[in-house]
Amino acid sequence: MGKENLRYAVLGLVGARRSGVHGYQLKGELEALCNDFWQVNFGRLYRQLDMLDQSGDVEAEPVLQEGRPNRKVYRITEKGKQTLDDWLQQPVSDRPRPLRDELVLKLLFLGRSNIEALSDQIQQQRSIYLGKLALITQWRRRLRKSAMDSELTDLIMDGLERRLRAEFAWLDDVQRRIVLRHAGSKEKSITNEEKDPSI
Amino acid sequence: MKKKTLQSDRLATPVIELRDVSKVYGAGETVVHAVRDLSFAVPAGGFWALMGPSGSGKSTVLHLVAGLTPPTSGHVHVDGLDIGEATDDETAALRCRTVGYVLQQSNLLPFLSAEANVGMPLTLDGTRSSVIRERVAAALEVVGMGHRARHTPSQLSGGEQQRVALARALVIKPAIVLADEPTGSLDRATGNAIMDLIQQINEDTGVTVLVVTHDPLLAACAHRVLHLIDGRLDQSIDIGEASRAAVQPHAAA
Repeated sequence: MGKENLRYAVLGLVGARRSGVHGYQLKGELEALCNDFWQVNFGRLYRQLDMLDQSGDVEAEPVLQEGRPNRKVYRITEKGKQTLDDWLQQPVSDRPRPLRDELVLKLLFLGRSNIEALSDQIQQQRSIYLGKLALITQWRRRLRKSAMDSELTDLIMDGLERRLRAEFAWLDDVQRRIVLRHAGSKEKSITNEEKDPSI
Repeated sequence: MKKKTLQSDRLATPVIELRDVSKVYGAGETVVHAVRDLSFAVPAGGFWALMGPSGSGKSTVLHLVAGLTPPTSGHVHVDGLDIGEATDDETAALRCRTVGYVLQQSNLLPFLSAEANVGMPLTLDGTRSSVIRERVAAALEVVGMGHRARHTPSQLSGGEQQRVALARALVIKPAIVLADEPTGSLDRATGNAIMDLIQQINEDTGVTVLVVTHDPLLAACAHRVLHLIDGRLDQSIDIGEASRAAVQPHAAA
C-alpha cells in the first residue's frame, strides 16, 4: 500500500468510529481490512496519525490512565471529513506499472540466457502466490466473523483473489513459453545426437 | 483424545506411495511418456494437490492410484496394495471399498434420484438395503444435500450435482478420495463452496485427499502441492510454509 493510500485508510477508519479510536485498536482494524500482505508497522501508523493531527484532519484527546502513560483517542474533524470526501470523489489513480514489478524486471534481464535462474524465480513466486491464496481463504473466514460489513470485505477479498489468480496464470504462461520451450529444444538436440542417460 | 492419537499414528504411514514410477502409453512411434520417475508419499489424513499444465501427467497419477492402470515401471502402493502386482479383483475391491473418485463432470445416472445415485457403489457391492439407506442419508447430510435426496440430476444445479457426486464417493467410507478437477466445470463461487466442503471433510473425517486441479485457490487449501511438468515432479510446495513466508513484512512496508 502506498503512502497516500495508507493516509486515507487511516483517516477513513478513524472517521468510521464516531466515539473515537485509539492507536492499538486502529492497528488491528487496519491489519484486518487492508492487510496487503504486510504487517502494519506501529511507528508508521503513528506518524500518519501525527500528520493527520497536524493538518487538522483528526484531533487527538489524551485519556488519563492510572499507573500507565496517557493514551490518545483520535476522532475525525469536520475538516477531516471534507478531506476524506474530496479524496473519495477523485477518480482512482492506479495505473498498471509493469516495470515496477520485481519479477518482471528479473524476467526481462534474466531473459533467455539464464533459464535455470529464471526457473528458480518462477518456482519461488508460485510458492508465494499459493501461500497468499491460502491466507486469503483464512482471512475471508476471519473477516466474515468480524464486525465489518461482510459483503464489502468479501468483495475486497474477491479482488485480491482475482489478482492473484491472474498473476498465477501469467506465471504458468512464462514457464510454458520461455522455460519449457527452451527445455524442449534442448531435448530435441540431445535425441539428434547421442542420448545422455543422465538427463 | 482418542481420535487425536489415532490421527497422529496414521500420519506416520503413507497411505499412497509412488516409488520411481513411470507410465508409458502406446509403443513405437506413438509412445507417450505420461509419468516419468515420479516418487511421493501421501500420509494418511493428508490433503495433497497435483497441478501442472495439460498433459503433464496429473490424471494418469490418479488412474494409477485408483488401480485403473498398472505402472510401466516402479511401484504404486495404495492402502497396502501393490497396484503393479494386484489382480483385477483386488483393484476392483480397492475402488469399491477404499477409494472414492470424483470427476469434473458428476456423471450421475440421469434417471435415478440423488439417493439412488449415492447408494449405487453399495448396491453394486451387495450391501444390505437397510445399511445402504442409513449410509446414503448420512453422506447426503455431510454434503448438505439431505433435502434434495429425491431429486433427479436434471432437477439439480451444477454445484448440487457435484455435491451428490462427492456424497457418492464418501458413501463407501473411503480411506482415500481422489478428485479430478472437481471445481473445473463450476463458476467461481460454487467452486469455492465445493472446495470448502472438501477441506472440511478432510479435517473432520481424516480421509486422505488427492486432488488434481488447475484452480490455485483449491490447491492452496491443500497441505502440499505437487507441480508436474512432462510427467516429472517440477516442484513440491508445503502450503503452511508458503503462507508463513507470505506474511513476512515487505521491506518497503
